[in-house]
Amino acid sequence: MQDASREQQQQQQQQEARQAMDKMSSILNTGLDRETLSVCVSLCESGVNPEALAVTLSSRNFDERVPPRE
Amino acid sequence: MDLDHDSAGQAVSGDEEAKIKAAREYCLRILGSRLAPSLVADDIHISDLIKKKLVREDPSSAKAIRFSHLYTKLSSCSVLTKKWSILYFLLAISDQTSAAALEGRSNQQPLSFLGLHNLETGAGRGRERTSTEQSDTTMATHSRHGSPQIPLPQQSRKVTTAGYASPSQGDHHQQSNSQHSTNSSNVHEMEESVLLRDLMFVFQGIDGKMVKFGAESGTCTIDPSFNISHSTRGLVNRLTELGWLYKKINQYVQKTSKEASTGLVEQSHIANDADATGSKGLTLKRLLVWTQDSLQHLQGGALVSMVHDYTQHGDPLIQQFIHHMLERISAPFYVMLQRWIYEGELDDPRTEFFIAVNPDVEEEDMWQSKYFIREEMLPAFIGMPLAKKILSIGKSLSFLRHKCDDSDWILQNQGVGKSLKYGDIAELEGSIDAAYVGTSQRLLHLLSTKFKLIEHLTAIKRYILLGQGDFIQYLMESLGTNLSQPANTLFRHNLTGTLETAIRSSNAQYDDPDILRRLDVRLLEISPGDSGWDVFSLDYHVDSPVNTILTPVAMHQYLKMFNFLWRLKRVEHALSSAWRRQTTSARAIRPILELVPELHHCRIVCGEMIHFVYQLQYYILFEVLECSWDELLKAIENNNTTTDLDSLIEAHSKYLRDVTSKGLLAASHDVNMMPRLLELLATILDYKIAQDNLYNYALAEIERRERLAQTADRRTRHGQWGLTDQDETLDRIPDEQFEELVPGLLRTLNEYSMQFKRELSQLLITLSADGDSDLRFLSFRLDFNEFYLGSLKGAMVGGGGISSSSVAATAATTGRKATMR
Repeated sequence: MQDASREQQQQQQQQEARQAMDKMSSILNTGLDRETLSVCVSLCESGVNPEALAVTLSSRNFDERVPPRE
Repeated sequence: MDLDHDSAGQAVSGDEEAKIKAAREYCLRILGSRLAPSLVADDIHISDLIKKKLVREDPSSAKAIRFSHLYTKLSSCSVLTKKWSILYFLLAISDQTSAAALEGRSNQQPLSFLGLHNLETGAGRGRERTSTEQSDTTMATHSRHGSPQIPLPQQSRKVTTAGYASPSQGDHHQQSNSQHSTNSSNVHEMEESVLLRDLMFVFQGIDGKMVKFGAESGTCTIDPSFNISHSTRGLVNRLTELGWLYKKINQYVQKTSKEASTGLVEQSHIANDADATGSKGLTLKRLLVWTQDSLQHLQGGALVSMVHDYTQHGDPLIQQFIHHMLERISAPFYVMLQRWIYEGELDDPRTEFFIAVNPDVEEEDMWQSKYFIREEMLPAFIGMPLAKKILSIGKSLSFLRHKCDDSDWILQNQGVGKSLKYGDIAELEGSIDAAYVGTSQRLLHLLSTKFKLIEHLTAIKRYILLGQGDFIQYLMESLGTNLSQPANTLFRHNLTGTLETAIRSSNAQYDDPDILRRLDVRLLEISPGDSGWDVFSLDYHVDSPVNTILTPVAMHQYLKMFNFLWRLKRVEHALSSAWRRQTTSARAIRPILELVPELHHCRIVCGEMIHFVYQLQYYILFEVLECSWDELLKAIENNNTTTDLDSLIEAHSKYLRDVTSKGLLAASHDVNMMPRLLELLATILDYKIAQDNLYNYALAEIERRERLAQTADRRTRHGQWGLTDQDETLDRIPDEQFEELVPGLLRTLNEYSMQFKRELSQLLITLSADGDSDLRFLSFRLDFNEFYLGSLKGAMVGGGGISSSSVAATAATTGRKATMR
């Protein structure tokens, strides 16, 4: 019983966090949709370097940016 | 981002797969790099950085405040552990997008007009023009295909040249003609089989032995050195057209598939083109070419409707082909549509969808102007009414999500949406209608329950439009002394305190505390010489999302209305206090015989004024406010008229328009009666002050007489004469006062009453001549026995400018003088 309620609470918290992130992203005019944003947030959570992630996302045109392989 | 699009459901060729793979590796390399972020891992520091950036972008710092709210919310959340990392990521992305936006703007322009040579025609006109041409060609083909046989290439070539007559083809004609004249003398005939073989190459875009593609124009020419008869040459020329077209398509397909900026819809078109050229064979290519020319400067929805124009083609084979093509072309379009009507998100990176977003719009105007329809991108099979519905659905969804915090419902509802595809328009309409009704109902329901729209409207009617009588009465009484002082001595906190008291001591205290909290005092801008009455105003705060309906503009209108009603109420209040004074002191000042006719006249004039004010109030409160309110309520409750937020906004603005235009007596806009009315009200107030002065004087006189009578009494008891020569008279106003003070008082009274009558008559004349029937009825009500207009006519006939009352007043004074002497 307790576990279930805790889980529910956690879900709710996650929901809130997601909404807050969504709003922040729209304030900062990042241009990310919700799906992309949540993927990025979970990437950040799992320890990906945020700067590198930002660079990756901003390269909109991959085939121009992909450097030739050594 | 691009990865996303590719997964959005169009054909991904092997080439692209390789590209994706490369991109993925690239991403992994970047992500795996050991570069440490250039900042310390500290939440607060990064949030400060973001705030600074926001303040820099937006000096009003509203965004920064909202951000810090969000930040505190987030920091209380225990789910996320690496907040600094996320924040840093957002900041970095934000920097990059703002930089990219600047770059992108300059790049975007030429791409969207790819290949469009004459820019001045504009996209909309371009489409119109081409579509008429198409109908020409379609008709032509249609008539030619009266016979059921499959169209021959020769025919198609004629049709296309008739329709487009492109410059290169013109050249081609001339060229072939000149060649013909130079070579006609050659006797050697070529074998037909050789020519045929050449043609087969040409059809596939490969140069033949004799027939070659020109280097520049791309058209085919027959090598002039060979001897070919006139008629054969003509025949070959016609046939080579196909090869030319094939080549052109091929070039286009190859060019555009390299170009990463091509729109999604176009991409799928290309994939389809490639398909068709491979499998369907030559007979169908001309269709592709028809779209080819316009393809160059059409995108997205426009392209879909362009192709859709061909579905009416007479030939079943072509019709089927077009249908197939349309299904594939419109697939991404339907994906966008689906996301829009079921999730409220606009996923349109190349601006191809017929709904566009205006990112600069502030949140307050989100409903009104954030999203709009781009007509040139509207596919032909979606009509304007349907498009408006679609717009409304998406708007409602994003409104629900961003303003009403109701994303749960949207998430729940997402599953309901089924996938849409080209084909049955009726089915499309059906699912759009269903989504429309569902979302709109949800939105309206939320507004009326969670956000208490009706309660807010009622509160505004009760407090701002003075519907709550006891509250206003109390407010007026307790504020009266405060407001009579000059405006610059007023302080808002004092008034707020009084407002609180008024709420607590009237029935308003039982109202919802949330609504009472929104009620506030506002002082308008003070101009020199204003009294507190001029600047005082009640205010009602509304916040998101109700402020989409009760916009700041609407609230301004309400305040204007309040201002007028408040003035009217004040005059009524003054008149009723004047009446009280008359009644309570009537017996006391009875002994002053000289003033009896004057006081009587005062009462008559007051009665007139009270009648005027009451009738005007009746008109505004009942005929205008209540009637419009009833209409509004009916409109809101009626599900047939109020289908979505737009119609709700419309109903409210109609209500407000009615109230302000009729209430402020401005139903017909040619004459503005407001200043005149305000002057009239000011005159009444002046009259009241003059009358107060007269009564003050009368009471002072009575007091004097009482004192004198007491003195006389005392003297008599002491055995002296009660009155001596030095004393004033007991039963008469002292002579010097009667000569100077009293006439002055009477004169001002008279002036004001005359002014009142004059102004009222003028107002009545304007009212009775007004086009609006309600205003005419008001004038009947004010002048029900033709007292004003009738007397005006009488005065005009009699030619006398002096009214009877002033004559009576002078007669009274002269009469008294006569009796004295």
